[in-house]
Amino acid sequence: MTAHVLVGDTWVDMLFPAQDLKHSTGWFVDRPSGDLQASVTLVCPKGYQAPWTMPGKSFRIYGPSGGLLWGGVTTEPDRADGRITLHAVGVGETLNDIDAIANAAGPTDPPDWVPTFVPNTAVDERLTDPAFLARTPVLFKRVGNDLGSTELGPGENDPPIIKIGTLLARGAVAQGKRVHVDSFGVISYQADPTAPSFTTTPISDYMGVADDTLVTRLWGYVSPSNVVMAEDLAAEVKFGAIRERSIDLSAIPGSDAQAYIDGRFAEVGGRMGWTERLDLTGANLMHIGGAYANPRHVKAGMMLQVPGVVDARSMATTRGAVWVVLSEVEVTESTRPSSAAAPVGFTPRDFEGALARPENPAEKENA
Amino acid sequence: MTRPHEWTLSGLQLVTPEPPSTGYWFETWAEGVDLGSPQGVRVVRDSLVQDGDDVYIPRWGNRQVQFTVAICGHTNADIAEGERVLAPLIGGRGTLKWTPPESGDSTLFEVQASSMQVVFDDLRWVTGPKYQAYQLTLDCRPWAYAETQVTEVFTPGAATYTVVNNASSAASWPGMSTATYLGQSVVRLQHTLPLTAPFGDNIDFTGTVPAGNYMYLDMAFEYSGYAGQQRVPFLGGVGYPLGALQTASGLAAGFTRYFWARKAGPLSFRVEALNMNAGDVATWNVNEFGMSNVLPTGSLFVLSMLGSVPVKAQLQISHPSSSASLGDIMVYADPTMMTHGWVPDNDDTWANAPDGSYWLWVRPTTYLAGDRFSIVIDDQLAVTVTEQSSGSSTPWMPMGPFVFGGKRSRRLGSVSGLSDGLNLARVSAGVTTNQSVSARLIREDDEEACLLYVHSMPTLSEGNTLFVEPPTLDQPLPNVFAGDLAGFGSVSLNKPTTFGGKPPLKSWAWPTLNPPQTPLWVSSSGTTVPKVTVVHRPAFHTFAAES
Repeated sequence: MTAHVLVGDTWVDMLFPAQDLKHSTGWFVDRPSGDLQASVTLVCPKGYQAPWTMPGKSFRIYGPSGGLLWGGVTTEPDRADGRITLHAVGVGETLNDIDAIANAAGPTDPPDWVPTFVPNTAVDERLTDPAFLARTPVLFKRVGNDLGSTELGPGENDPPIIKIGTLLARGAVAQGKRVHVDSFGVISYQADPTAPSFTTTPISDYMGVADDTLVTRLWGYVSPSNVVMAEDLAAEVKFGAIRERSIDLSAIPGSDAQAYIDGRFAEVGGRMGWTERLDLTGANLMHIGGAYANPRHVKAGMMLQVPGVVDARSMATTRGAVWVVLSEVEVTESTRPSSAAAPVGFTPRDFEGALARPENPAEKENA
Repeated sequence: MTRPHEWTLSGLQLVTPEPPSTGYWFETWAEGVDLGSPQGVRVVRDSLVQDGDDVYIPRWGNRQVQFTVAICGHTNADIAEGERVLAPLIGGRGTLKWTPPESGDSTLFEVQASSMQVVFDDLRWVTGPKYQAYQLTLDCRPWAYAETQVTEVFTPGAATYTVVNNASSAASWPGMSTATYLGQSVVRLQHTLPLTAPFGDNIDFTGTVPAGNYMYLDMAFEYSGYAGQQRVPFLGGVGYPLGALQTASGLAAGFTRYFWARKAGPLSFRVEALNMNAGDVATWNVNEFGMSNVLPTGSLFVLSMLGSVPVKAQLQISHPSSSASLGDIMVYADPTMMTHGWVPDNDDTWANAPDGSYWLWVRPTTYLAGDRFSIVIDDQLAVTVTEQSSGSSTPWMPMGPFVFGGKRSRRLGSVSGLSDGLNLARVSAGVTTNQSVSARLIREDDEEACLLYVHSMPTLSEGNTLFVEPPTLDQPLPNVFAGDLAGFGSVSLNKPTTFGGKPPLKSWAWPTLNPPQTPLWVSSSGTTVPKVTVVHRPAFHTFAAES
């Protein structure tokens, strides 16, 4: 294994033999995309304790030439048989545990906390709160990126206080984008890529399809007098099925609702779901320029070209290759890294799982 | 009489040319001696090839040495006495040393574990000289080692400077005038307001420039005015300086010698002055222009390795002649530097580098903590975010990954945007500006290339050496530390050297040193190329030699 792990301020794989280093990235609509999970197993004496074995330390993975591959925060480790397995979640994942709160009082007055539904405010309030800065191991930041300064809620189904992750996801989708947190912690809104970064070698993978996520028309409920809609009538003809679904957009300003429903429909609508993951190795993965690429650099949210596969999911595609945006990628580190990449539209198989987000009440499917 | 085999296990002689008249002695049977061979750990690469496996060996397992030793004696009690001497050496670690007859250097096998098994023959206990044979099985480290540890020192070549133009006349310097500055005759270029964008000018040299490795320019900046303003002079353009020396042979006091890699085509520098107000004057004084055979900050060493197999050796990197601190140290090992002919800090050679994944290490000059730098090269976006504000010692930062090359694209050197002098977009507090920086190209390859980078070596009172100690079976805990050569005052670089700081070790790996020659690129932010000391026991497949 040639990637290295820096936990807190310690290169832990210089202290103990490290095994099974894995790191994953995700590309989601309903919560922050970016670094997802990582883990590494260290062979160390039974009962070994060090500051870096405690949860809440920064966890970073660097490649053999020193580049940052993954960044996050450690969670509770597992101990067994003289081994300790460190787990970490990405910086973006921590936003799902932090509430969107603003301080209505002046900087020197006693704090007066109120809920906020403005993405920029929710992030900046935390970054200017000295007490918060003092206790967070890894800082998210926005470096001037505009995350939106209009109120996005509260929706009918919202709790009084929502999570920053939920709020940012709502802000991104309102622009037809995803909220992405990179390995350095920078939050930005990113659109789906329109051209592939990588390609597999021809016929190295098969991509099966299933129709259980097929949706041909998606309704979005904004208010009793405002319902927006996105549809793919060609898919209805091709697949011989009319599958209508609706979601609650009452938390979204009416002016953003159409962009929102288009973004959601683009993810799930008009086609069937993929049933296969792609296994990427140094032997079947190439950069679009033709040089062999390292699978450890494939991240969720990148577009992959899979030649030799015909997209059976929709009417529109007649190319001899499909272009898929990757929704989840897990890299297994070794001297020959490999990755398992799931395309967007892969998982889960049921519509409720694919679209409805239990942790995001504003986007629950209407009963 | 010819010298017989010498065959000792942890100091116990197992071959006896002249049996003693009393007591026990040992004999090793020539028949059945098996020196074993290292067992390659084979891994099959994934490939689309139908027939044949793409096998490679990432590491080597132990070898097993087997032979039969007889304990001989005149009485049965002698044999028991001999066993009391032999048996304690079996089980744990030890050394099997073999010196061939006639002449030759000794070969050492490092025993990790061993066992012995009785080969019983009842007749040998009945008549004549008694003996009892034991079959020994030794699990040894894979390689055979020479007896003595070798310390090889590789120093950078002495710098030789060839003057091309001594700036005594402005004949080859269009637009410049002669003057005297700091007691030296110079040609100078002056800026006064009003300046128009892009706030710069070119210094051109139109004379003949012979072929050479590197060029240098002795330059002094001179200011007048600039009340309350930060003076920001730039020297850039055609050749981004790869390094600068404050003292060098032939360099006049007050001048700085800037180096860059030789470029084809006309010689032209871009010079710029920012933050000027009315009345301010910025002057560039050129005292000398010439060629150099070395760069002050980075150099490719070709290490001549003893032994016949690749090893992970201990490296010591220090100032070639004094105990001065080296600041930032980069050590990059990659055999393709020699096979393809490229080095990380000379963008003229980048076209030769092989296809693959790369990172560009950059060092912007001005930034605040949390600033974001980005660049797009060949449609590939790379980003980095600074952890601390820039200061007198700012770290190099990797940006990537990039995939360069490929049959259908181009050679590395013609990738658009890939050259020294990258134009990075800097976002600070929501404001975007551009910053030109020098870059180093580092290849990412898990099997053969690796980078070790120490940012800001701590300064010790007793000399400053970077020790890189890969893990060995004797010392399973590797280390990278700063210390003096006597080992005093060592500071581990794996952890912060100040409270609340960051570990100076930003990237690490253990270079594999291949005999007979292996390339190693070493750079320092100090004033000179460091020297590299390689400490290792020369390793051979089976038969060792001392030199």
